[in-house]
Parts: sequence; structure tokens; C-alpha cells
Amino acid sequence: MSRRTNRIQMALLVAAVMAATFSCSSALQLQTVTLNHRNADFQAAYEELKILETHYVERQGRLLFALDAGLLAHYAHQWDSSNRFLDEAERRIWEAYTESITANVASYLVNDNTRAYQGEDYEDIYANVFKALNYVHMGDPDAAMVELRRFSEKQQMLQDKYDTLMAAVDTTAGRSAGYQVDANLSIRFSSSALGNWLHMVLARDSGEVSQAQFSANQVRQAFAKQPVIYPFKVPATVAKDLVVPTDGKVRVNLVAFTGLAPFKEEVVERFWLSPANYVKIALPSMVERPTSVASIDVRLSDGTRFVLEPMEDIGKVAQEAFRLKRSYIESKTVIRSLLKSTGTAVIDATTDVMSSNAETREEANSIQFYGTLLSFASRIFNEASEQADVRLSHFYPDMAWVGGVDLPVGTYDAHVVYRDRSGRIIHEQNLTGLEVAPGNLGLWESVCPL
Amino acid sequence: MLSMIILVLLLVLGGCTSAVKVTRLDADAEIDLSGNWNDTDIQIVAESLVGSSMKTNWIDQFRLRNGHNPVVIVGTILNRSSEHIDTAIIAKRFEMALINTGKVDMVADIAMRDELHDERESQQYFASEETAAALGKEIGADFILQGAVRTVVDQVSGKAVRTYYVSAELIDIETSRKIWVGEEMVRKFIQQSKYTW
Repeated sequence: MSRRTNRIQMALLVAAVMAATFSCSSALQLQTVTLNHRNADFQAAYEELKILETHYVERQGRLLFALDAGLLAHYAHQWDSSNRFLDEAERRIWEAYTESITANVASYLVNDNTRAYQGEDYEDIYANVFKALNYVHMGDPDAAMVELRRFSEKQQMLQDKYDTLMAAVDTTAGRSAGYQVDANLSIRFSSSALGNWLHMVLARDSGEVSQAQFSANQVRQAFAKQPVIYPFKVPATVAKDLVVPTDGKVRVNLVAFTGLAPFKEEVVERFWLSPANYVKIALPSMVERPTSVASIDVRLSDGTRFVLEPMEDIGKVAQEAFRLKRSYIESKTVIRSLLKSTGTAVIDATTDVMSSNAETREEANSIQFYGTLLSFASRIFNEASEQADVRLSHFYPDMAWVGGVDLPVGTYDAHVVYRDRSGRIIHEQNLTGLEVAPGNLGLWESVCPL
Repeated sequence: MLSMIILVLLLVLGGCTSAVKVTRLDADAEIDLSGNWNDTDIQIVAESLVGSSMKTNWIDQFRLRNGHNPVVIVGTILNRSSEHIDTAIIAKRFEMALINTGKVDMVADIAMRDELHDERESQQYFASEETAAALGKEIGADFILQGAVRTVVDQVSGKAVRTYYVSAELIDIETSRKIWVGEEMVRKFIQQSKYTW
């Protein structure tokens, strides 16, 4: 084998290894899981996700797998498994607070997927909410309350963080310098009405009256402080949930989840700088999966009827979290892509200059050959390494709805009917054998995938 | 060339393997990994609360008044914290310390009683008359031990002060009078680096 052939092989090997090393894409194929979820076959969706575990973890990491598996296990009534996955997700979010400097530097050279996924604030907070619901279903109200206290601590930390930022901007000095309170800060998600409402309901049923009242106020404050995230009225049940029912009745609440929150996908655009060189821009884009449900009514076996009202637009929370980061992601991506393409252009220009200055034709050909190879490797690297960071949990619901009713002691069946905007029934669920008694947890749950 | 490709692949794959290493620790070794409630906290709290309850002379007063050891039952130590804490461990430590004084008698926990009742009842049917445990001979407790664990957390990004308040009380079952109340506080400053190499 000639020396020249060896060098060609070596250059191609380097290009291939570079492409393999840097093409760490986070794009994921979850169509079958999503399809099963959409058909309300949550068990099949959960099983399917577990089959895809290796592929999933390679692409998006263990944290997101644990979050998704935890949610699907919850929908599939695998309460204990759900808690184990959500525990793991919560722990990994905590660990991911410590960032790797090398991974951060690499994100400026390669792509954002080199950084460990840290989880969005809302993903962290809702993990505790769903764990609390798991414990409710397992008949362990004390453990559910632990999760909701944990939720409150995280919420307090977020509130402190954004209050400090607001205060810093809204100082006399800040105003005189021409700064105004950033509208973005005021819509940062720092308080979940849903989480506070659950805390209120469980505290009420656990006899923790002052906590229940505090949480009820937190619900109202979440609506008042974050109007962009809560564009609807405070559900009517909130005002009645802490009123002690008369005639020996017991207050019972129902929480329902509908649709799926948005997920991210990659959008790629290429801009030609010259006939032989282009900039590849790969950006994440949110794909909405809004719920089709416009109203929910509940019929109980004794003929009682009540409606559920929107409590939390989780999809909107996810959208806002992304919107606030988008300009940073875009700037970083454009700068990085331009630098990579400029590198290729520099190789091309240098090759041309050196070959034109060569003393012999053979030397010029040799420079042109190696320059072309290097330029080729650089293009492969640019194309393969520019990948959008599309990491985000996939199975948080789009909307949470709540309602409540005072019921005499007894056992009930509930028929939950989900309707679209035209009033057409698009999903129904039967909840059976629901015990209503003083001292019991009066919280039921229903899920509609649409 | 082929051998070089294989070498590169082996190096890449080889780098992913991990080994498990286990080391036995002394029982009194203090190791904090996450800042959460751990065995060190249990030891601190249990020793302090047991010590506090022994300092008061409720045992001697009871023995003087009644001529026999006080009988204590372990009630519930509520977990009102933001962590999943097995409060039964604290209760058990307390129980062991009280029994080991030789001046206190303990009866089965509330949580264990149902199983005992079932066993005693089944003995009436299935055990021989001579060996079956008699009914109605349980010793009634004079005092119940109750308590709670609460947490307060003050945190900003990467830093947190986590305070555990563990309270316990002995209550006279007949009069509902509290004969001893103790509280132990554990404060931790937890710091998490923002960056690492």
C-alpha cells in the first residue's frame, strides 16, 4: 500500500471518528410510546418506553428517561414504580446543579448536548406533585404531605430567586439608570397553583388547618402574580374546599389531567456563504400538543353532577420556560455555527494561497490535496456536530383541571366525561369504588390523553 | 489500519466500564453525602432526647408513688418534614434506652398490637389448652411516647440551611398530663458547587 493511500485512509478515519464523536444528537423516536399514550393504553406506553430505555438514555440521558418513565408509570397506575423513577429524576436534577466546566466549554465548540441536562424548574416541581399523587393512591397521606412540603420548599426558593432579581432591577438606582422591571421576570414560573391546591386538599384532610389556609392563599397568589401562565379564573372549588360541610357530608375533590405538554424538535436551516461553504443552524423548536378537551363533567352513581375547571396550563408553563431561554440558545448557536464555517473558509483560503505560492506543480498538487482533505473533514465535523438540544420531558400533561363536591358518607362510582369545543364526547373514564368517609383522603384522579 | 480502528473502538468502549467498590465503615463514622437526614442525625437526636428524658426524675417519682416500674408504649412519631424519614428508628432507639435502664417496662407498639391480638386469638383455637396464651392479660401502659420531626429550609442557589426539629413527649395516658417534653435541633449548612472540572 502506498504512502499516499495510507494518508488518505488516515484522513478519512480522522473525519469518521470526528463525525462519530461529535454527532451526539438528542433526537428521539417515541412515536409508538406516544401512540399508546394517545390511545389511553398507558400500560403499553410505559412498557414500550422501558423497551426503548437504552436508546433513550443514549440520546437524552437518564434524568429525562426517569421523568418520562415516572409519568407513564403514574398514568399506568404503577404508583411505586412511578415514585422510584421520579425520585431518581429529582436526585439527578439536584446533582446536575453542579455543571462541568469542560462540558460547558465543549458546548461552545460542539453543541449544547455536551452539557448535562439540568431539568427545567417546572419539571422539578411537578415531579413532587406527581409523587404526592402516587402516595395518595397508595393510601399514604403522610408521605404525600412530605412530597408537597418538598414542593413548597422548591417553590419558595424559586420565588426568592425571582423576587431578588425583580428587586435588583426595580431599585431607585436601577430606574434612574433607565432599567425597567423586565416583563420576562414577572412571568417566570415560580409558583404552581396546582401544587398549592393539592397541598391545601391534603392538609385539610390531614387536619393541618393552618397549612391548608396558607396553601389556599398561595393558589390565589399564583393566579394573581402570574397572569400570563394563569389566563383563566381561579376555580370555584378553591373557595369551597376549606368550608366544613354541613349535614355530615364530606368534601371530595377530583383532579384531571388532559393532553400532553409540548416537546422539542430540531429545525435545521443552511445558509450558503460561498458556493462551497455553508452555515448549518440547528435550533430546538417547541411542538405543541394542546389538549382537545374544552370541558369536563363528572356524574356520580348517586346522580350528583359537578364540573371541573382549569387549574394549571402545564403546556404554557413549558412554553414560557423555553421562550425565556430561546434568544440565548439562538445567539449561541449562530455564533458557534459561524465560527465553524469560518474555520472551513480559512482552510480553503489558506490552501489556495499556499498552492498558488508553491514552487513546483507537484508541491501545489500536494498542498491542494491535503487542503481539500482537511476542508472535507472540517465540513463533516460542522455538519455532524451542529445538533439542536431537544432534551425535554415528553409526558407531562398539557392541562390540569380540578373540581369538588360535598358528599354523604358512602361508596361511589364516578363517570368522568371529557368534551371538545363542540361539546362532543372525546373521552370517558369510570372510577369505581370510591370511598367517602370522614378521615379519608378525599382526592380522586382521572386522566385523558387527548 | 484495521487494527488501529479496533484499538480506537476498544478505548472508547473501555472507558465506559465502571467498577463497584464497597468499604465497611465504623458505626460512628460521620459521612454526609447529600445533606439529607441520615444515620448521624438519628444518633445525635436519639442520644440527646433519651439523655434529656433520663435527667428528669419521672421514673423515680412514678416508682415511688406506685411501687412498680412505669409501663410505656411507643406511639407515633409523626413525620412533618420534607423528607421521607423513618421515624420508627428514633422510636426504637428510645425504646431500647428506656428498657436498658431496667426501671421502665415497655409494651408492644401500637403498630405491632394487631398482629399480637391475631396470634393470641388464633392460639385459642389452634394451640393446646396448656400452652395457649390467656386472653385479657395484657399490661396496660401508663405512658405513651409521641413525637414529631419538622424541617425548616432556607435556601438560595447552591446553598441551604436545613434545620430539623425533633420533639418527643411522654404523656400520662390516664390524665393526658405531659410528664416530659424534649426537643433536639439539628442544623446543617449544605453547599453545592456550581462548577466542577
